[in-house]
Amino acid sequence: MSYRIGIDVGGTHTDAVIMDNNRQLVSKIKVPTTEDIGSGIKRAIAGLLTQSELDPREIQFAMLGTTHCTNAIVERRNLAKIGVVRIGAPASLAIPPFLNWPKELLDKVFVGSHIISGGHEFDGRRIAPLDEAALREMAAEWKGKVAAVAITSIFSPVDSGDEQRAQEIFREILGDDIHYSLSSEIGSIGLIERENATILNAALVHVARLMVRGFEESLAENGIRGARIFLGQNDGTLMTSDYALRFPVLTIASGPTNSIRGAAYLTDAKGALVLDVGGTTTDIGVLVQGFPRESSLVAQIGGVRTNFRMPDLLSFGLGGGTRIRGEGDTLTVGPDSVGYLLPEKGLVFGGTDLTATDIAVAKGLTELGDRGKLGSLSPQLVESAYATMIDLVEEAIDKMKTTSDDIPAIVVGGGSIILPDQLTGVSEVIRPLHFEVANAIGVTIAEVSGQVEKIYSLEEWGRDQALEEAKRLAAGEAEAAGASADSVEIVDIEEVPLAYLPGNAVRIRVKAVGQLTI
Amino acid sequence: MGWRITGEQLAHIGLGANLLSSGGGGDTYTFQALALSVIDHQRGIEVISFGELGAEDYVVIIGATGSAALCEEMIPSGQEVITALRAYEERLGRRATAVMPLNIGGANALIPLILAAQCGLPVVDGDGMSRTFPELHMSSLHLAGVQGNSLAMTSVSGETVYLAEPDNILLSQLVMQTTQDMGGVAYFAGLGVSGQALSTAIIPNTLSTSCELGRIAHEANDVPQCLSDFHACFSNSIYGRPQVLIRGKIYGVLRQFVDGLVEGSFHIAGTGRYEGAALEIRYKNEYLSARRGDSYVCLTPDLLLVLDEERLSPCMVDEIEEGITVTVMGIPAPNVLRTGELLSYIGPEASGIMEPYTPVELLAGKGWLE
Repeated sequence: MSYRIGIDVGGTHTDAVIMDNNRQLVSKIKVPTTEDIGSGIKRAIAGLLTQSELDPREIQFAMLGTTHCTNAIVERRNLAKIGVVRIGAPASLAIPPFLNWPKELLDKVFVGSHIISGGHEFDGRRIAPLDEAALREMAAEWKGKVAAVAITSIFSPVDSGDEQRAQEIFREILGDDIHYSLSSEIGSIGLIERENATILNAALVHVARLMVRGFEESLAENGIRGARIFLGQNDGTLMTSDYALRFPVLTIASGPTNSIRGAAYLTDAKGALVLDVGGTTTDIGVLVQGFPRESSLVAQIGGVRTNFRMPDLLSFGLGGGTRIRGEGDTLTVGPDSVGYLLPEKGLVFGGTDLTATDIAVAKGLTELGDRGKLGSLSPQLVESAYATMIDLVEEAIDKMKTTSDDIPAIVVGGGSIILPDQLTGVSEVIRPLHFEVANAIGVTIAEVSGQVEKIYSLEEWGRDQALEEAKRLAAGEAEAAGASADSVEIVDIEEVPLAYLPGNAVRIRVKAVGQLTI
Repeated sequence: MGWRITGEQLAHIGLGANLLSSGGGGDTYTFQALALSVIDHQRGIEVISFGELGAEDYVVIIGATGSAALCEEMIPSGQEVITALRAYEERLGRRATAVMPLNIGGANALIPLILAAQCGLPVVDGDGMSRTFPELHMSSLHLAGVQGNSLAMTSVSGETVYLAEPDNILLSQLVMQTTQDMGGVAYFAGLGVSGQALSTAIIPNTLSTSCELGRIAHEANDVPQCLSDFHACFSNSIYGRPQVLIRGKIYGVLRQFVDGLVEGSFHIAGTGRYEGAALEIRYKNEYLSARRGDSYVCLTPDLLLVLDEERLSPCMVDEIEEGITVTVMGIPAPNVLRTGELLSYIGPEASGIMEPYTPVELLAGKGWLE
């Protein structure tokens, strides 16, 4: 029998599971997330192996969904010094790189930034010849000062030739030890946002090593040596550790996606709301065709505008540890929480803080701790606190639903015990087995994906051929990422006609996913 | 009355221009950043009202043409509009004393401001469309008999051409063709008009209205406050009293190509007070019409504002997605757009809707009692 281990690092808890190759759960654990992240991961792995009594050599796959990169950007820690080049002048000279970046983030990473001539028009024509001399000059200027270089060329999603040539020139002068981020490999049309994502990716090169090497070490120290390692990315699919070293920025926001995917797996649902109730907050996402609905909003990462497609989430301050204060007119629910200290601070556990969990116990929604310790709570207080909690949840549900019909809601996460079995707007509250580790299950069962986004002229290609070509490219990407060829399927096609362009230009985005090759 | 645009107000104008774009006109984020990078924060940008224009004034219209989607990748060098203006002035042997947007809806509201900041010229408070339309002649200037005659166009890579054609409609076709030859996006300066002629041809004060609308949306704490302040602002403007048509969620989004233009429709299912009601909105680059069942409740050139309640900002046609909660307002177009000749270009029939134009104020109450 072979097994896979999956770990999801959340704000409060690090959750981990072992599943067998029939995707049945063997063992599960929750430990507090540590400040360095890594020691929490190590403890979770050790705990799982002790519990399951498995031979570590039987673990063939190890998956990690982690907040290393998000934390590094938000806390401005461990970021690499980088050089930034944009190719496309004279176009775009008006708006230099780092537009509207938070100053303290910019100061951490900035070594130099230049806009040079080169790049393409949307139809592949050249804007200007690539200025190779300028590239050599800046490489000499940056030598010894940068750990990574971010390269962005105008319309590189159409023709990435200039970005690749620039990388070659930098390699000649700066060598192979420097990391190169090419925008055509990271983002889609939209220069500023794609460039920002490329710069962030370059700045994360050290963090990527800490994240991947740290995970490898945690596994090795626990005797897991031969396992293939994967990291969860923001679209709910996996990438290999080699890929994660090159594209660390794609790990950002994988957590909420994992819990939605886990909820889908645990219930076989294709369309539903997913409520992930943690210790401090609840995230509501929408499951469509087995994947999270994506947000239409511009994704800001640490104050930087990017064009990543993030899961459409509504977060609000209600979790198992949410503190409840006052009474009557002064009653407040959250938004602060006792977090992972709930087992010490909650009233039912002998503590002194009134929490959402205490109210749920008082209402008889769950059996937890010692009910007798709630004797002093007035029934009015319990009722009004509970009503306020439910209002918060139902209001958020209403915002996230696309139709006025009642739809099923899957409730997961350790804090979901505070929710009742009936909610307005919900046809059925589904509580899957292992709900408390749905996020770790989500990353463990995840598939691998490939995605392409290109502009096609329908006059030149014809619609069917353009779609076929895009599908073929996406499937190829998925296989390159580790999917077995016979399992690859196309899960999403987006076709956006572009107005005022000759030749009926359409932006086509195709995503393919497949199972890991065993 | 004149005023000076501050850096903070550039953001208001950017958002306000999107609110007035009826779903088209392109994203203002890039041009707002560009304007902010060239504005003199001490002096600001001088705005003059049409009443302050003298007979000796010569106002040049400034803007961009082409694909808004391409603008997000093909960002300008920042020199395009100056190059175009200098080329135009040289051919005419005449200097601009002020500049003005052709259309206040979308990115084109900001482009004259960039030039004004770069050259120290004042901007006239107003425009020729009060929203955005795809062609030059769909404007109050054309209606007032102002013949464009000529303009200069500059591409992002710096190539400049001068186009002369006395007929506005033929000139408009030339501009569209040249834009495509220039890579899909181009910047122009031209259609110069004397201060005197402009004072009867302008749709006045739309720049101040966009600034005020943007300020309201930026400063509002909640949807009801935002809507009631919008109501007051529109009611006291060249537009008129807006009509709330529905509040609800978007579903059933369709998009397709028709003759090289993006067309489509979507529906809104009412919530709250509008529970059980539904609205269908059709668009062709911009929002064209809103319909309840078989009854039209808003027809072009009246404006449709689809307000995303979460962001308190307007949904553009390419941002429409299922599940977004919106409030839809029908906003009366200024009277000049409702006259016979302009309706033949921008009215419902010109857009393939077989329904005579009726003002939104008269239509909005229809269809409720079915």
